Amino acid sequence: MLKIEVWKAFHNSLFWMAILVGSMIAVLEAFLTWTVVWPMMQNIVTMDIGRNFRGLSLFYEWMGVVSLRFSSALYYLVWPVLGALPFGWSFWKEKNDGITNQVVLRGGRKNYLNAKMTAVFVTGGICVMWPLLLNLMLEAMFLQASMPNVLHEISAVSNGYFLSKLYYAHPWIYCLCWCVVVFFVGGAAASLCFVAGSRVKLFVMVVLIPYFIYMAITIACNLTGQIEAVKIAPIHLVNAAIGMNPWIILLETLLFTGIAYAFGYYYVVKQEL
Amino acid sequence: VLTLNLSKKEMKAELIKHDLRCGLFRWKYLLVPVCFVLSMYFTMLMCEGWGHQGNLIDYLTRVYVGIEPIQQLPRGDSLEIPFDWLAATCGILFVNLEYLLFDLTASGHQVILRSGSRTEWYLSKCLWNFVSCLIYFLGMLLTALVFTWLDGGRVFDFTIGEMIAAFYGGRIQAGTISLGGLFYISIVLPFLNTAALSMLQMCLCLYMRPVLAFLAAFGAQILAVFLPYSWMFSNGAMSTRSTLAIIGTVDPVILTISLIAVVGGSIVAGLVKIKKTDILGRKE
Repeated sequence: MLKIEVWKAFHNSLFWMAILVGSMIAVLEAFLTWTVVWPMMQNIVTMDIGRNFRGLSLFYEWMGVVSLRFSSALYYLVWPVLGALPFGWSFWKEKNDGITNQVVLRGGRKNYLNAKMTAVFVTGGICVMWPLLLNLMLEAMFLQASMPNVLHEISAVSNGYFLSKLYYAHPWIYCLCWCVVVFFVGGAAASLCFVAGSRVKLFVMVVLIPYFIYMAITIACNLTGQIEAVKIAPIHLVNAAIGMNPWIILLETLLFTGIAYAFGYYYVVKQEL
Repeated sequence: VLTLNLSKKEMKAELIKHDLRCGLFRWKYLLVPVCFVLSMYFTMLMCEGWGHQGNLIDYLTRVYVGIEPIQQLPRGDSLEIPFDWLAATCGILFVNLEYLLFDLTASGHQVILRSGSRTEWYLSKCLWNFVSCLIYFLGMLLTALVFTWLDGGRVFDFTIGEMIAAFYGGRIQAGTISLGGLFYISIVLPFLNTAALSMLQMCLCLYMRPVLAFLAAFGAQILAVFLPYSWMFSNGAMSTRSTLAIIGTVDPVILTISLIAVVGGSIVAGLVKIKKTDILGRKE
């Protein structure tokens, strides 16, 4: 059953639409970065580098650690939608169409839930991670991969942040590790679509549910007025520059996945079909 | 109930009545204060910090102050888009998203078929959208009233005091801006911005998947943070950039024209599309 669900997840137009939207964001970010760094690169050639120049590196400009430009700002605000768009809606649709009953009768309730959850998690994770990975590859085409220096104040990953030692010692491995973290965070966000069950009437609302949950929690965190509370807001989970505690990232990822699984368990296993 | 034996005029009236009745009595409007509570709360904290009791005008002004133009951020600086402003400007996208879609599917088909004219059906939706934006702003006013009352400030005190100057980073002096000017950039332009954004989303819903329409409208609003130009309509929700308040970059006249152009353009583009849409075969 897992094979069928994963096949369905990767063979639907919305998965590719999410990949396309993510790619557009990554390409735009690379282009905007190029417009900023190209004059600097020219100045390096003419040795007219200016007093404020602190180095030029792929690892300073990568979208994963920087949110200065329109595309990265947009990504950091709407990433839960990117995660839910590819396959998050599938349980809602199959339950409304009556397909769930057929599959459950043939394959078992728990098998169906586990397979569906895995497919939603994996596709969501991939679609949230993809813009970061693509942007890293695109920017590597025109930016030098020089080692980041801890003394440079332009570095967004400060000393003491999650994996900061890795960032300054092995930046490529750091980037890949951060992509893996984003994969899990994105998967957890996508799985929150299970909360909708079959009660929500419109497709768009199912896809937007994780986003609204995250935004509501973020607003509540902001209402406390405490910087510590603002830092744990789930909308910042994919932003390395925020410097979120790794335990908070792990806890929130597990919590949201657990909540989603609990809702899924109720709808598929406990509830009368 | 819409029936077939109505004259054109009666049908038009019935359509509008239907939209106002079904579209304006929704539980979602209860969420409107949530969109503004963060902004109002921050205003209250700011007033407390200044040892000042916030008046109604203080609370209403700060909602759409926005952020200063970002020309070129120094590398290493991090951009922070305030969530209170974001919730206030983009909350309308959530509130108004689903009504048109409900009326384009299932039982909504019956309404379109009986209305006899797609143009009038869509214009009726545009009118509903506009009224819904008015209710959104009414929600803002009510929230501001509650916070003014909690803060112990005076509701009917319209003097432009030191708090307003503080909202603009001390770059305006009390007395340099008229009450009318403040009303225009803090209420009228943000309202037009809200209507334009909502109308744009509704129009885009006909051209693409609603979730993409939501993302596009959201992106258009975020774009204003980076493009402080008068023709960028979404600057309407940023009074701090207006030349009426301070020497800014955004001319309120050109901005008003661009906002009206977006509203008008969305209506026309929606009308063009709805005439060609296969309504019965349309999926969300």
